[in-house]
This record gives sequence, C-alpha cells and structure tokens, in this order.
Amino acid sequence: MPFDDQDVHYEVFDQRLPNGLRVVVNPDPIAPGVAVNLWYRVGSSEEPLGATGFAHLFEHLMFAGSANVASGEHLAAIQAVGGSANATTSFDRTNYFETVGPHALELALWLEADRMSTLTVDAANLETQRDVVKEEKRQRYDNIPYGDQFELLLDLNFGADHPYGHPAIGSMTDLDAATLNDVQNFYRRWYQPSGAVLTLSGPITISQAMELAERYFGSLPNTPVPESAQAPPLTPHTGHPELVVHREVPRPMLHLCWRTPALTHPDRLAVDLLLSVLGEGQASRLHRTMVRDQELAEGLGTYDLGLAKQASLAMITSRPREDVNLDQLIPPVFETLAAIADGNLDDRELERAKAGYEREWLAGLAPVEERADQLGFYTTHFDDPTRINSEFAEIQAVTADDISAVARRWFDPAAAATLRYEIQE
Amino acid sequence: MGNTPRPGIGTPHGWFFPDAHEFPLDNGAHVWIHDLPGQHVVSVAVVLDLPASCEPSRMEGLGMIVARTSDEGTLQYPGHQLAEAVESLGAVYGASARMSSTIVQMEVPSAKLAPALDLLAEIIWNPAHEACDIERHLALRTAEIDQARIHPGSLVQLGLQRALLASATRIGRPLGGLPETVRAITREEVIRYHQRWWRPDGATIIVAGSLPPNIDDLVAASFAGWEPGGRRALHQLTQPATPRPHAIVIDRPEAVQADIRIGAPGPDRHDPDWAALEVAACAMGGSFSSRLNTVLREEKGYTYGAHASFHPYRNRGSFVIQTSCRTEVTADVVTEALRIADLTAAPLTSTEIIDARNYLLGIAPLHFATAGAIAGQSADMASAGLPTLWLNSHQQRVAAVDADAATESFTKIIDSGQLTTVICGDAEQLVPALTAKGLAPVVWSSEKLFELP
Repeated sequence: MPFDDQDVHYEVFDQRLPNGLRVVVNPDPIAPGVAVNLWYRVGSSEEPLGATGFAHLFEHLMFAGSANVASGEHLAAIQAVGGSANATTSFDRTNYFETVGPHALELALWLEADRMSTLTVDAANLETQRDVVKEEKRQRYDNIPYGDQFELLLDLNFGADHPYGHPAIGSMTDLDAATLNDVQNFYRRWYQPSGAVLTLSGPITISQAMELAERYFGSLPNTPVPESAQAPPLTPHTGHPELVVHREVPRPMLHLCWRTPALTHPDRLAVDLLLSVLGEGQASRLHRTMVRDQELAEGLGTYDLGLAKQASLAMITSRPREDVNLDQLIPPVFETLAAIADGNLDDRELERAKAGYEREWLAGLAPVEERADQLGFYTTHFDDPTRINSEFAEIQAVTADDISAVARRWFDPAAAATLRYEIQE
Repeated sequence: MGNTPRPGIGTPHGWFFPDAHEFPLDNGAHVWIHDLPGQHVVSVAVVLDLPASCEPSRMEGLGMIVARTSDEGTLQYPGHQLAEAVESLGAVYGASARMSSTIVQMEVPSAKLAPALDLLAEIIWNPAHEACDIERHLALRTAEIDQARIHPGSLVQLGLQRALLASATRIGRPLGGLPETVRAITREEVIRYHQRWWRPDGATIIVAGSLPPNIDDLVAASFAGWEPGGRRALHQLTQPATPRPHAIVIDRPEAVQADIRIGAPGPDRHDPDWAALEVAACAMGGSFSSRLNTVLREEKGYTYGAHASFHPYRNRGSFVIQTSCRTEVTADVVTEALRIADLTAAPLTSTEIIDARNYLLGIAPLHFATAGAIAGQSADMASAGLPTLWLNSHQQRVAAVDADAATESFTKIIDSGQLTTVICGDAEQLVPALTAKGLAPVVWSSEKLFELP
C-alpha cells in the first residue's frame, strides 16, 4: 500500500456505441496527457498457414494512408503536436496507440477513426512496407545471435500448424505472396468498430470522452467481425519432446518449456507467482541455487507468454557457465519444481514474490499509456475492464498451497519440452 | 466516414520539470527531493561523483564490477540475506557505472520507503565484497564480453567509440574494460576503489515520488553516518581522435544486415548552440517524419528506421546517425545519409523546425510522467554537473530556435564532409560497393576492438 494507506483505485467507465465499438474511459485529472489506445481482436494466431506475418504487415500498412490521411501522415501529425504514436502485434491482438496533450486529443481520435473506416494502401506502399518488415526481421531476429530461438520454441511447443506455432513477424515468403486484394479483405474482415476496444485514459471526463467517441466513431457502420479462431485444445506434453540446434554462439542455452493454462484460467495468477518464486530477483529459488550457490548458470529467467486461446507457454531459460554442460542445468530445475509441488514453499518466498508484484503493478499503471493498454487487455480478454481494481486482491489471496497445486498440475518434469541451443563446433 | 471534419489543435498547456526541494547534508552530499503525489512507487537515485577515469588503467571495468557486486551481501545482511531484505520490501536495487558517474538506485512502494532508504545506505557503505562474489562477477563480465564479440550492435558501438574519440582519454576506451583489464581486477582493488570513491563528497541523493511529510528527516537520518573521504574526482576533458578515419568496416562475415553509424565529435549541453542543434537533429533524424526516416524507410524501404541525435557527455559529446539495412543497399544508404547530413545544400525549412520544436516541447511532459523518469532526468543532470531544473531553461531556448538558427548551428559544428562512417557487416561484399561510391573503407577485425589500443 502507498504511505497514505489508501487503496489505489482507478475510475473506470465502460460502454458500447451502437456500432459495437467498446469505449473504456479512465479519468485521471492530474495526468499530463491523454492515452488513446485501440485493441483490435486480431493477431498472428488468426493467420492461416501460407499467410503468416499478415497481421503484423498490416500493422505497418495502417500507417500507410486512409481517405483523408496520406501515407506516413498519421505519425507525423501526432509527433508535430508533441505526441507519440505506435502499434504492436502479438498472437491475440493488434494494438494502436497515441499519447497526446489534451489539446490534440481530437486529432488522435480523428486519425484513428479515419483508418478504422478506410484504408488506401496502393501497390507502391505495400511493396515499401514489405521491405521495411523484412528489414525489421533482419534487425530483430536474423542478424543477431540467438535470434531464431523464439521461432524454434513456438515450433517445438505448438507445432507449425497450430495458431501459436509461428511468430508474429511471420514468413517472408508468405509476405511476398500477399496482394492488395488480400490486404483489403483482411482489413474489412477484422478492422470494424465491433472488433475493437477504444480506451481513453487521462485528464478527460466520462461525458467528454463519450461525446468525442460518438462524434468521431459513431457514424461508422456496425459490421460483425468473425469469432476468434479456436485453437485445438492442448494437453501437457508427453514423451519429452526435444529440439536440438547448433549455432555459432559463444555459449549454449537451455529452455525447459511447459504448456500452461490460458490467461483467463483460474490457475493463471498462481502460475505467474510460481514463476516469480522460481526466477524473479536475486533471492528467487533458482537464481540462488543455480547462479549464486552452485555457480552453474550465468543467468536464468522464467517467463510465460500469457496466451489467450486454450493454452499458454511457460519457459525456464538458462545459460551455463563455462565448463558446465546443458545436462547439469536440468536437475536443479526439476528438483526445485518437485520440492514446491511437495509443499516445500516458505511463506516468506511467496510474500517476496507478492511484494515485487505490487511494485511492478503500481509502477506499470502509473503512466496513462500503460494503464490504457492494461484496460484494453482486461476488456478484450476478460470482458471486464474493472479487473484493473480487483486483480491485485486476487494475487494477494494466492496461498502457498495454491502454488504447490499449480506446480503439480502444470510443471511436472515429465511434461517438459526441451530446446537445446548448442554451440556449432 | 469522412463526414467528421479534421479537428483543429488547441493550445498546449505550459509545462515545467517539477521543482526539487534541495538541501545539503553535513557530509557533503546534496539532496534533491521531488514530491509527486499519485506516484506510489518511489524512485531513489544516488549519483556518485565518480568518473570512470578514476579506475587504475590496467584494471578498467573495475567500477562496473564494484557496482555489480555491491548487492551481493553487506556486513549487516551477509550473503542471501541482503537480496531477501530488499525483495521483502518489494524493492528493486541496481547500480551502474557510467563514464562520468556511478549511479546507485532503488525503487520501492512508498509505504516501504523508510526501511528501503536504510537498506540503500547499508549497501552503499558496507558491501561485503566476498571473494566468491567478485570471482563470479568477473567470470560473468568475461562471458558478457564474449557475447559482445559477435553482437553487431555492440561491435559497431565499440568501433564508433574507437573511431571518434582519442583512446588516450578514458571516454575513448570501453566502459566495461577489455578482457585483459577485467582479468587483472582483484578483490583488494575492488575494496580499495569502493572505500576511496563511494563517498558523499560531491554525491547527489535524489528522491522522487509520493513522499511522507518528514521525508527530509528520513533522508538525513539514513545517510547522516556516511563519512566523507575528503577527495573529489577529476573529470578529464574529452578528446577527439586525430586523425579521424573516414570509413571503417568491422568485418562480420555472412551478416545478413549492415549496422551503420555515421558520426563526429560534438559539443555538450553547455554549448550556446545546444538547443538549436537538438532541434536540427530532430528534423534530420529524431522523428518519424524526419528527413532520414522519410527517405530511407518510407520512400525507399531500405531500413526499419533511421535516426540522428547529439549525445552529450559531461564535457563535449558526439553526433551520430544510426541505421541498419540489408547488405546490398548499404552503399546507397550511406551515400543518402551523407547527402541528408549536408544542410548547406538543403537548409532546414520553417515547417520542419516548427514540427521538431513542437515535438521536443510536447513530448517532455508525457515522457516525464513517472517518478522513475523524473529521478532519471535529475540523475542525468547530477552526472553532467548541471542543476536539476536545467531542462526548463533548455526548453525555453528550444522554443526560440528558428530554421536559420538550426541550419547555421548544425553546419557550423558538423562538417558533413568530415563525418566518420562505421559499418559492422560482411566486408567481402561491403568494401567493393563502398569503394565504388568513393568511400574506400579500412577493414577492422572485430578482435581489434577487444585489444588494448
């Protein structure tokens, strides 16, 4: 709790326009700017095989012009009024956002509405943005050491034909095959008011926000978007799937992976806390054992991708010290998980994980752009933006027994898949 | 759609970097307090007046090792107990050695600020520096250098540093040391460096966030026992490399992309042209619609992004254009970037300067919306030897820059014919292409960057 001992509580208003656009408002009179954040319920998991990378390419094209906005003008106009704008694509959604001073809020809304209603990509800027995406892939993945790990992990854990089996950047061969017709079809299929959540957070009242949302988005038609593709149900791994690759890197790496429950599953928060207890901070179990006491690892991390459809993916990643081989990194992880599954968890460990979570939670929600993004997340995946005020209490309520139970259910050593990233001799 | 006309833009609110309440401690440290209601995570930064030039030259990287081992246990909280105490508060600790200072930081929910300040003071005064922890961190630093040897971003940065700055001064050599100097670091020197230099003399203690009314007393009580060492560090004058090479390729065979830096030595924030230079660099490569990004990304599709900016050090600085692109268009990209850097041929326009000014002035309140960002800015100011509110006077100067001033300042300080181009990529393909464009690069092996100059 903050020093004044008051609960941190965010005012949240949530209403649909008649055309289906869901508008979430979080008034914050002392914030310096207003965050405008649109979540469209389409990500790389909606892409069929042969059309991977399309949702992300599309993110670029959404800056390439609409009926009243020239290519590149969207970002230029926002920056010229002292604001920031960008977009990101992940598995389950594509996200567009601006933060502007209150004096330029209407410009941001008008720009977003213009590209929600029209897209005017031509062959030339499709070609240019395809090249830009190829450079993005080279810069972020192909040209850097260990750059193919993420793709390998998805393939190992989901299989190439699963909706989560490929990264959002996609295949460049697939991108080369995309036509202007594909672009317009994808656009009309997914980019509709009824497929979007518009969140406004900052110095604005609810009535002002709703009036502006109605003014700029209200005239757009109500056209339904498809239901999200349902991923096939996935059960925990069996038979110890393993992928071994050899690359020119200075040190090998080991990823131990488990299929975990989707982000709306009741076990979700306990899984997140278990991963914190294992690997978040220097006092965490595995850091202490593997990095500090036994000096087996240079470092380690625990992650979960937080996926929405049927299953998610958790990873425990470590890099061995010189003269330590990858096999030596496995027993401490499995032994620690088995111990926690047996109920060997100190309350103080759990309290530390919760205290760290509190700091990240408070710091993460401090700027309006991150708060608006989190509201879009809760609205899209939980159908409830007010979860921003209740999730922290749910975290506090997780017990050591809950952690042991999720360790047993989801982190059985027999259900692990292994990516061994070895040095090419 | 199309029936809602494009809205006009209102007048932006005025904005100022938040005031600091400042007071000295008896031991020589200065305290800057930013009380920011609603910021429930408090950010504390202690800026030690400790340039990397204080390291013994045969043990460069020592300052980084002292910082990294500072939280591996203290006299009062040995071994694991320290990390447990920090994390029980929900706090996170970090220390980093920079060229002009070492910064020790803690972030903590405001309810736990008082015990966090005591822990931070304990870490600063009484680190245990156990031999096993120092050996482990030396091994990890060596492993980190091994990673840098094959990472294009690290290689091109090291190459640029060596190309622009004289290796006779500390700032011209790698901050974290070289394999040979890291190997030479001993526990004895770690302890000696800490005892001599982690002192309140010239230090600045910055606290930003939602604070209790007795914050001054809390800070004073936590840090009152920190004893001065009686010495102040000397800050070296940055020296540019002479002669400066024209073009360098750091060979990374079979790289699928070329990482490009084009730069020159530049001034620091004290320069009377600083505001005009910042505005000029923003119009050239600081925003999406800047000249570099418009041509290289949006028109030609050569790159994911192209940027230009001035980087101030405590004294003097550098100007750097940064981009990366596929190997086969690299020579064209460099030629285009050099053409764009020549403002004598195409002076900046009023429209460009108005947009750049509005961007720089308008983005500041959005950027400084959190306690962490405000503490970070004040820490930068303390590191640079500037007052906490420097940004406010700078913003006024930015608002007064016009197109002529921006162009004149830039062309006066940056001679586009004397820029140094450093590229990390596949030399076998890059050298002939660059030579054909008249750039005739010298080739450096990546190993050269990890040897003593």
